[in-house]
Amino acid sequence: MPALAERTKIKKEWGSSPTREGLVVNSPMHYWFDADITPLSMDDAFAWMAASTRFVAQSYLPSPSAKAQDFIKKVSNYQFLPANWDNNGAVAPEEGVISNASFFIQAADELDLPIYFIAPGPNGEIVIEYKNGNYMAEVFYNEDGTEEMILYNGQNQLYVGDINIGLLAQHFS
Amino acid sequence: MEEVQQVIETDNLLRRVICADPNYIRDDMTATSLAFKLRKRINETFLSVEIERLTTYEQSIGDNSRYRLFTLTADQVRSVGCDCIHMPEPENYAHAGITGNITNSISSQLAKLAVYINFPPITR
Repeated sequence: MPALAERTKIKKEWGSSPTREGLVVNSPMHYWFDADITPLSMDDAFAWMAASTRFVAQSYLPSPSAKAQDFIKKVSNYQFLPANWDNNGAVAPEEGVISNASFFIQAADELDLPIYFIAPGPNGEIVIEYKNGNYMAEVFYNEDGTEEMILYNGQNQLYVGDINIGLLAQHFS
Repeated sequence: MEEVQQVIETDNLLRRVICADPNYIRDDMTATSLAFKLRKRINETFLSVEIERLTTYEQSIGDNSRYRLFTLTADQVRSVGCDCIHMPEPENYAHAGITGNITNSISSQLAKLAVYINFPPITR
């Protein structure tokens, strides 16, 4: 039975379910009944099987966690850094860099990734760090529009390359 | 002209890291990789450090309301593919430079190797 292709968060009427484990979704028709048997209606099928589960898709607006909101606010404030803020020619990050970093924080928050630290670089870049025990990640939004991600286990650098939120989620799973 | 010295493997190198706002020092007293980035706006081609045996913490830190010191050895610098060269300046004989292709990855590795120096001492 296929699992969900990507990690996501299932919003329920009474809350939400994290998806750290694979979630199997399949037709209850084939699971509980022989394929040749066709109940009168899908509702009847659910009524018959007390253990069946119905998923209703509904859209919702993501609401970042309090911690993520705090980091997003910090990122937003980087635009107000004065010129030469480090006494060595440092510049504030530009709007595009700040925007990209903010979106990433929100997206990663949807996957409950452990955001840990954030700071602006001297050249207008932003680095977002994630950490859980020995597992660490650095996500760079560079001033020239490029992006990079580095993954660590302790002192060992496991990955250096493009930002990949799926890989990042896997790193902390 | 001041004599240029060989930077030996066991030499401790001091890197000044900003601790004002923005702060490059995490709560666990490790430094973010941004502390080892080249400053392109002033056309930096090497990371400035000081050779510990040629200076003091007080001289090296400068303004201790804005900076703290981190240390790593020349051997550690060379282990990531960089080099360290003594570059004495008129008012700073201890000055040296970490040279090489300093990418985000290298900055990150240098930061991971660097150790916080408790100066001025924080009493807990």
